[in-house]
Amino acid sequence: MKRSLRALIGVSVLGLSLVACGSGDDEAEVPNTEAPTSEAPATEAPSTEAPADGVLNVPADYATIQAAVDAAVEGDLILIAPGTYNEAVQVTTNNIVIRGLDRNTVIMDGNFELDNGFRVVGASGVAIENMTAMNYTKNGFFWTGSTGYRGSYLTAWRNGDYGIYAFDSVGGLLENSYAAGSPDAGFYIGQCYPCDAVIRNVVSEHNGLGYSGTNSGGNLLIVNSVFRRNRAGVVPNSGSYELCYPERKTTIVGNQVYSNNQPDTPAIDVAILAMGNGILSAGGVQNIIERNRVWDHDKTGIGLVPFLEEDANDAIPAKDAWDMPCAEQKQLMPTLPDGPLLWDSQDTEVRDNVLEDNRRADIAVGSAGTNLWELGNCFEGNTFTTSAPLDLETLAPCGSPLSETAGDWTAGDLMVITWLADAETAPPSVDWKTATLPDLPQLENMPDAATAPAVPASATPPTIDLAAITVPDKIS
Amino acid sequence: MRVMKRLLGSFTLCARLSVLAVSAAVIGACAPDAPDAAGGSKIIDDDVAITTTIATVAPNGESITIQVLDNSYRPSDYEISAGTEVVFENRGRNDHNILPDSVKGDAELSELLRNDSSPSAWGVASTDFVPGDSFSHVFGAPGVYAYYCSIHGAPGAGMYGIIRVS
Repeated sequence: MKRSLRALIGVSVLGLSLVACGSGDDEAEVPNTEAPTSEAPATEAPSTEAPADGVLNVPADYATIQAAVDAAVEGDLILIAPGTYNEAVQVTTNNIVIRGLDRNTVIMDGNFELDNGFRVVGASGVAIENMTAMNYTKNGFFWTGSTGYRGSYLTAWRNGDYGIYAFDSVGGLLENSYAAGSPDAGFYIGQCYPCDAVIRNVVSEHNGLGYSGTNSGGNLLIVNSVFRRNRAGVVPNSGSYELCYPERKTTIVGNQVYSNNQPDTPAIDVAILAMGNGILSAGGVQNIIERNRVWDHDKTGIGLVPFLEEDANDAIPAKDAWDMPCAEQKQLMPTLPDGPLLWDSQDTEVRDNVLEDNRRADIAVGSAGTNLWELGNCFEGNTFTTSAPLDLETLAPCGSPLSETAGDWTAGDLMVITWLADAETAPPSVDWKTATLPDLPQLENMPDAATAPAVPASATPPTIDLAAITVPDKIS
Repeated sequence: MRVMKRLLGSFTLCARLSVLAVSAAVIGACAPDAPDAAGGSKIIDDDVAITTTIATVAPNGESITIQVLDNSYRPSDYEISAGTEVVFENRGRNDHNILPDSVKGDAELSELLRNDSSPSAWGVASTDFVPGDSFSHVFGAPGVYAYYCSIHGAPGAGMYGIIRVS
């Protein structure tokens, strides 16, 4: 259950054509298909020991995925044959690879009763590849407390909390994956600093939030992906209801972010509050938002706004503590504040994005009492029509200190506080179990799933050549 | 500084009872008239007479608070003296639970609390620990109490904590 809102305020992103989810026109990326209905055959006498070749076949060798996972040792590969598996699998073994032979027909189905398709708890180096998880009451794929994690060619569809979820984990890669129908975020990386993680080539749609990252950042890259038709698109955010605040140093480059006004999704309260925004930094700091294409939003294309947190659990760290590693900050004792906290978005660079048809403003910065020129956010080189306040690139250029006298900071004010009232009349959340979603898509498989070697997740994510990423073309 | 609120609801009854080391295995774990002071033999139910062994100490009047966030207990490792009340406050945005490491889930916890009045029988199920809820327990017996949230962790991994009672 989510606590009643009254919180956020914050927001927006965009990308290249997706390798994982097909390229070409919009609808071709997620063609209609029926979900497989075959059941995993039972095995009379499942094995209890891992085979010598390090490959554990389900169901041929092990009746259930959990049995194979429990039998696996570091370095093993679990290969899952097509079928529907009504399991909630927990993984505690380091450095194993769990792979479906066919992304679209290896189906983990929670039947609206089981909690997580996969939950990796405290295990490092676990890679999950090439399968679908749907109808789980919590998450499709979930890593927590991991050093080194990877999700590749995954489909998360109609799950009750997150689609693909990495919490308190570092050294991650989420790629070539798809998430739809979660009331919180399709993709989430939270409570880590430095995260050392990459999200690339993913599609997130019809969720409360396309991406959410609370108190995460530090070498955290979100690139070449599509966030569309969620309540809100890409929403890095800060708050003391999780550890390791604030959210900082997330880099968002080369994404396509559009039409995140979807009124009929499941949605947590914060998603309703953020509705209608493309890339929305809600109390995030020191983020970089570059070369994204962002269009068709009721509020902002790229917005930097505060997050108002009532019942906060600790004071906001001073700027000189922002670089404190998460592991160190966890050891600090909290100081309960006397009242609500206002997490302002600060020191974020918004450059060279292409924006259009964002009805309140293409680019925007707002607060609820803080002088905007004191926040240090800058805007430069963007292709846009509207801004809040007006003439934002003149008021807040990058590369030089901001000044109160640069112009009129009040003209065209975002009036972000009015979003609280907007949320009261926004379309309410739809039950995640019954929400109208795009049909379960047939998506690209990983290459050579049957024969590709097992490569456990690395704690060092791939190097991304950010300079080589250009603004993606608009999906027509 | 705001004073942390302490919402001591019905769970406190279980907590008070747990300061007794009860030798009988099956009793009403949360009998409403259960005594909260250590003593010799007690009758805590009209129908069931049980014998208690004094292995724990009575509440000492001290109380500490552990924040339950998404998805962490803060502090996650705490040392207290026997008889101290620990108040867990769910200050996150999600449901959580608090289970002794030996317990696998909410249903098993409920079963444990129904059938076991020993110091190891404590905790709160997720249905009773939504955002804004509090749960309190007096740790009357020395020992190490490891616990976790079965939604967001496992024993010793993810969302977990330790209370060390001396």
